[in-house]
Amino acid sequence: MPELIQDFAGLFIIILGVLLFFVFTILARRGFRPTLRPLSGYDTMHMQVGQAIESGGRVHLSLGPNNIIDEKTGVTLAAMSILDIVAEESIIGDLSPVATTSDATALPVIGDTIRRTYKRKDVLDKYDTKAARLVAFDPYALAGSAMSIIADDDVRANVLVGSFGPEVALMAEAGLRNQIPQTIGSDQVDCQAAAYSMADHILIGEELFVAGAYLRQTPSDIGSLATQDVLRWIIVGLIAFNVVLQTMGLLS
Amino acid sequence: MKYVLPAAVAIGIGLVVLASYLVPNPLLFSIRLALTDWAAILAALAVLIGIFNLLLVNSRRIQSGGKGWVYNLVTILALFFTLAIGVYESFGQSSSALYRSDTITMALYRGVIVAALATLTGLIAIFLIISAARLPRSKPGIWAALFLGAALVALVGWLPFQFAAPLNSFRQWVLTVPATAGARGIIIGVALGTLVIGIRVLTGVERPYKD
Repeated sequence: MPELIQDFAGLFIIILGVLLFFVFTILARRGFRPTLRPLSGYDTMHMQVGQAIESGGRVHLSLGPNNIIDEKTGVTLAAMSILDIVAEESIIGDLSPVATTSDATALPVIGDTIRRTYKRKDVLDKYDTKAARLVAFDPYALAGSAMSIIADDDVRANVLVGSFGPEVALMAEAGLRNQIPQTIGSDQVDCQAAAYSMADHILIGEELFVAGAYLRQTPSDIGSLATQDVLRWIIVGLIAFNVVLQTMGLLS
Repeated sequence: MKYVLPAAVAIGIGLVVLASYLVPNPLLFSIRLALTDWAAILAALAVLIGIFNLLLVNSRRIQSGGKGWVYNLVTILALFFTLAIGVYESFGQSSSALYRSDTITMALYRGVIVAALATLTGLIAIFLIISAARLPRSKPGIWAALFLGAALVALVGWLPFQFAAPLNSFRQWVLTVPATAGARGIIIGVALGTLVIGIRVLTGVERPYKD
């Protein structure tokens, strides 16, 4: 019975999410724009990419150990929307961005994301097949390998978005040593300390998923952000309600 | 058709897999298992693409004679050497050489991969301490002070000395109340973000496969 309730609760949240998403997307098409709190990671993203290109360098973006066949796929897709934006802004430069991963299933999708961006902008001849790189099969080995890419591949901005753990400190240290701006975003709790102490800008948890709303601002991106916010307030309300019930002794 | 067909396949498969979790139906369950098997086969093929990518990137760097090309050469040589040893030792055997303790492949794994990863893990602690020490200069302010304070409490509270006992209780409280609350907040936020991305894929708004 509890499993059945869980399934129904899951179905209810999904249906509610779909409804909210469509409602907010339609509202956004009609001009609805929620007030966005400042997120330095996104607020400075255009500037970071622009400065990297102006100085004749490139942007390094790592997706870490994320793949496209498990529950981390959501984070992978979120990171790829950031990659799409970074690649689009890098087109005017001489060097294409370099995207690294330690998961083979993510590699073709990463390469395709960059290639599609170049194709969309009609500059497919500038697409570099080395832009997407599988540098290791382990997150720590990826971090070690990315250190040399950051140091040797004309990298002028470092964007690390994915399910990174503490190994992100290795890549961030390479960025610090090269004095380049760094943005770190991870859905993992054990990455946050390293990210806070080493990166210029951090994206914590759900902030990873709102890149589109901050950087592209299409109606569907605004709809996603508003849906996420409303669902969060519903959960906050449920938690507060649960606390009240427990305090009053109405729940065991 | 070029745009509709991939979207229809992706949305259809997504809905079937989602339904198999929510509706207890043996047919849906068997479809989900078959799709999972296909994903595993494709993942294995992706490894081959990954190895090809590794060869391509490293060989081009050797050709261009860029900085550190010797390391690229070593990488390619190590790839072929390990592959040859692994194939030779696994040939005619019931299990892969990597799963037997008496093989050169296993010795390479333990002596090189495990040792290198352990070294990198050790370096992380050093880098974190250095960056924490740099924090008051790089990000002066109340949050950096709180961060450093919490880090100190966590480290000193861990010491097995009598004088650190009150700090130990405080450390325990920090870990179980504010740290756990923050961690759960992050996890809930990530779950909601993943849900919304899932909705975008299922409704065809997010199409990472479109050309």
